Amino acid sequence: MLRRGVFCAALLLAPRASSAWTPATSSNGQAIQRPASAVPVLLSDADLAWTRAALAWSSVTRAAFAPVEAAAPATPDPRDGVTSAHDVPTVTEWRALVGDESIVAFTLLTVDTAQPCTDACLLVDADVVVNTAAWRFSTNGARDAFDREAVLVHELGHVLGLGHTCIGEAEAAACASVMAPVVTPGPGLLRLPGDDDTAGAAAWLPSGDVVRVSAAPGDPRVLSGLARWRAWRGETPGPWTDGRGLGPTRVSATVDTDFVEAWSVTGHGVALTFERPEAMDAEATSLNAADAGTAVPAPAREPASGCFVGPWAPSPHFIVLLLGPLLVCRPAKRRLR
Amino acid sequence: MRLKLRTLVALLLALGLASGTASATVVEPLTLDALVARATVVVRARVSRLDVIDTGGRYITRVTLAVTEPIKGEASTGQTLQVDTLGGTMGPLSQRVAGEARFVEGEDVVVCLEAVAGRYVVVGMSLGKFTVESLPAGVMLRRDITGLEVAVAAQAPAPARAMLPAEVPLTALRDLSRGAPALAPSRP
Repeated sequence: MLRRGVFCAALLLAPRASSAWTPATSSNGQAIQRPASAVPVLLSDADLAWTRAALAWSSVTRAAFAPVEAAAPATPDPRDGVTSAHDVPTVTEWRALVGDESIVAFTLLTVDTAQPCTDACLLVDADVVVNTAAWRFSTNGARDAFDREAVLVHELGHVLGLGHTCIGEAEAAACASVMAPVVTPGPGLLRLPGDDDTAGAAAWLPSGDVVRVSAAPGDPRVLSGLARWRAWRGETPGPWTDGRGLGPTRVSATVDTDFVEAWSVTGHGVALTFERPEAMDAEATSLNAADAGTAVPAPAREPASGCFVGPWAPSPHFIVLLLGPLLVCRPAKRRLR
Repeated sequence: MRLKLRTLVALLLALGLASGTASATVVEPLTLDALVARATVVVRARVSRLDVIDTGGRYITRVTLAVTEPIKGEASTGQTLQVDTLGGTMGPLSQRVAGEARFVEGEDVVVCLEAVAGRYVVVGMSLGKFTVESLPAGVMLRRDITGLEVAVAAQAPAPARAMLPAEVPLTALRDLSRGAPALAPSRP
């Protein structure tokens, strides 16, 4: 209790943390903000890393991305209004499209400049382009390749309007954010938005509506990405394999208009708690996953780490520095690194 | 002392801007000698014209440069070079790639250019484009790389951005260009 008090007091007294989230900006310094509705994102069973990356954000940000089913254009189409990922597999194609092979990946952002950009320019399209011709990417944690899912989660953070965090060297070394400005090969990169990313999404996105997820070990937000998408589309229950050799899993869910209200996963031995901001005092839907009939206890309502941030947050710094210690507040744990 | 203070202030300002906000293009952290080694030509030039071209929905800004000093490769004073950069503004839409080199008409620049598929591109996007600034201490080259996310080949993220100074003397680039080594890139 004393340690918690000391930590919270330190938060109160701390200046603005240099690892705090930032909005994405164009090179002239103008902020880029996504439209008020969910960003249409082209999803496909053929690209599980992309699907999981989109759903990693959707698990912490209500209606961040809305799945679209359509044939992927051969090359990025900045006018189709759909966010998609494009691998460029040959040097010839890359040279024609971009030119410089030292570029690993980039996001082409299209913004509406017909409207005056008072606070932020509205994003109308975003396409992520990945240079698989010159660089190796992996989805299974290979040490000599970049983790494709982690790179895509980072790029999608930019699509949602977030900039970099953990800019300084000390911050970068212990950064628990997917928006860190340095990417390294191997399995060490984060695939899930951290507390700071979530706080940024809560404060920056126009909807400002955040769902916090607490998860047991083996965080299912990644493991069940495709299942969640299918549940979202109402294709449940159904067997599926997540592409990591974990075997078939059955999913059941209750789906509302745009988000899974309640869902459960069997086969991973996980338990989830969803806390909806508008009803946080009244209900927290606990979901137990059972593996071969063995019930897994649901975690406490308290988030696994950090401070709860609601949609009413005027700014994440205000929350973290002032209100955070007054709410349920514990030191954030380092994840994965 | 006064000069040193001025340079320090400029550097701090540059660092301050660099630590502000950004969005990302993931790029290999090419050091100065790697930039020069990879470049087909390195020139000091004046930006004389910017044209936005629609290539099947994707905008390209074609930058016309009037060479004022050839530093490396086959270029001559007075020659014009055309450089393609990603993005641009046309009508109601603006396309942007974070970290791409951006030019302003009339700007005095030093650029590391690579000939690719019949055109020039800037090596490493904004890594390879410098704005020239004449200071009493000498001519300095300044670049804005805030839109770049650095991809490092080893698990050593902290020093990666320190390898990429925001400001270098023009003389350093000239010296590097004289004996530019062959580059053996190491990529994952």
